Amino acid sequence: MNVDIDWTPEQRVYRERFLAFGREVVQPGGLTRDQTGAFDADLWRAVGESGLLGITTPTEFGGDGKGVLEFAAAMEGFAEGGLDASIVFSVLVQVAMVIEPLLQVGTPAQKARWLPVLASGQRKAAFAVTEPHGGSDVFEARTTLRIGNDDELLLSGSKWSVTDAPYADMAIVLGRVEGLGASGLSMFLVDLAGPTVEREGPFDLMGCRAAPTGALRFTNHPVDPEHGVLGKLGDGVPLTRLAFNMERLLAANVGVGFLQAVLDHAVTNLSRNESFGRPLQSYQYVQGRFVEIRKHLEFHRLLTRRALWLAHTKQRFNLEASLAKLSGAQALHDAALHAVLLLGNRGYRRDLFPFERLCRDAVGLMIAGGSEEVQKMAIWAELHGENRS
Amino acid sequence: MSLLDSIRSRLGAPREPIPDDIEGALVRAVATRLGVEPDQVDPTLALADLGVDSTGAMDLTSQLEDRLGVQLTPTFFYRHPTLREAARALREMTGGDR
Repeated sequence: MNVDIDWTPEQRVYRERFLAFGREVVQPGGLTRDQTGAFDADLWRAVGESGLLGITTPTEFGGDGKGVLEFAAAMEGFAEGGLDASIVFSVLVQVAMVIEPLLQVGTPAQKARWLPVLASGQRKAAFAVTEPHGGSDVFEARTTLRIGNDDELLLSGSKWSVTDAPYADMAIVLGRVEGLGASGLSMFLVDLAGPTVEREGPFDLMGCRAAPTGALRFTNHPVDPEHGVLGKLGDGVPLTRLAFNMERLLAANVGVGFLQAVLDHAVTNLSRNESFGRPLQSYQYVQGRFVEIRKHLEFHRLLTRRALWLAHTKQRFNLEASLAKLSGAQALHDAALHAVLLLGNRGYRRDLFPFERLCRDAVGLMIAGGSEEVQKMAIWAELHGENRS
Repeated sequence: MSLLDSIRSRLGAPREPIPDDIEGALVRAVATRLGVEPDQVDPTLALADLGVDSTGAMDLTSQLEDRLGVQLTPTFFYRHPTLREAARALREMTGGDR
């Protein structure tokens, strides 16, 4: 057996660089952003300038030209250092759900137009598939593209629960084509400028409160008749899967960084506490909570690294990504709750520790990119396929 | 090809005549997809149980639209999971009791 799940020296450099960036730039404002629920444009600009968004973008478009593992290493550090799931979500939407599909199936013209501004953070992207009536059943999209009287292409319909909808400059939008049924279900590249897009939000969320989430309403919104479709007409289903798989994989991966931070913060802060004349951590019941957090971290890291390795080596990783996303969200919730309870009254205070916030953010991880039930359906479908082959 | 031209091309594509035996046509299409003989495809089983995943179901839905000239929702095979149920729904849509 040849097993080495650690980062390479180069990947470790990425991890350390963004761990430091997270601690210095992201973490200080986390409490305020959570309380106000406001998108922090200055933070987004700083993230763009840090180079995080462009790690996987080819150098000709202003990026580093690296792979998914380098980005994952950077995001693990970014999550651990920043302890802010909101900005992590915004980054994942930009890179995993928009830049990655563009890299895989975008035309040279589409890449030239969008990659430089997305990789630098000058433009914010959204991934708009869910509709008000549909929830996780995204393939029942009613948003429709039609040919207008002057041969223009016009998009109409509503998208719902879209991360960054209130501020995004562009979006990948799942929609149908008038006159075509399922065979027309496609991903459209849509510039969100103009009065034919109405925005709603940010919604008042339980967690991830500074990842501005809202709705987009298109009313005869123009779509580029030349380059407006991503991939081929009718590729809506495979491209939705591609984006969700990448998002699940990388969302699972940031869970490793969050879990490491929860463990380290809990150990550091509890070591200062005493009870009945003894250090609190000398009690076996207390030690048990640390063991639980460490167990979550180790299990989740192993599962996630395997999924990352499969993705890196161009193997199918759908099952592992769904499993890792499912377990990671639950593990983060449970670990953060252990940390709250370990620190008692102090742990319960929002102004002293981020654990309460991470409990709420973890629920967002359970929902975004497919609910727990949808993850289980995806896992079952993969198992069913494996058993038949 | 531009997006506009792709849409025009798809909208103007000629339709094949509707087969008399819709269920048989569905069975043959699934058999071809799975690489098995048609008599190995049970039309009373759900597509998922026949080994067609959701992406395959979407491809099949698109084929049916192109062949029959009907518009189907992307979740057609979720609403009509077996080939027999799907054939019955398609017969009603195409107006023929075949």
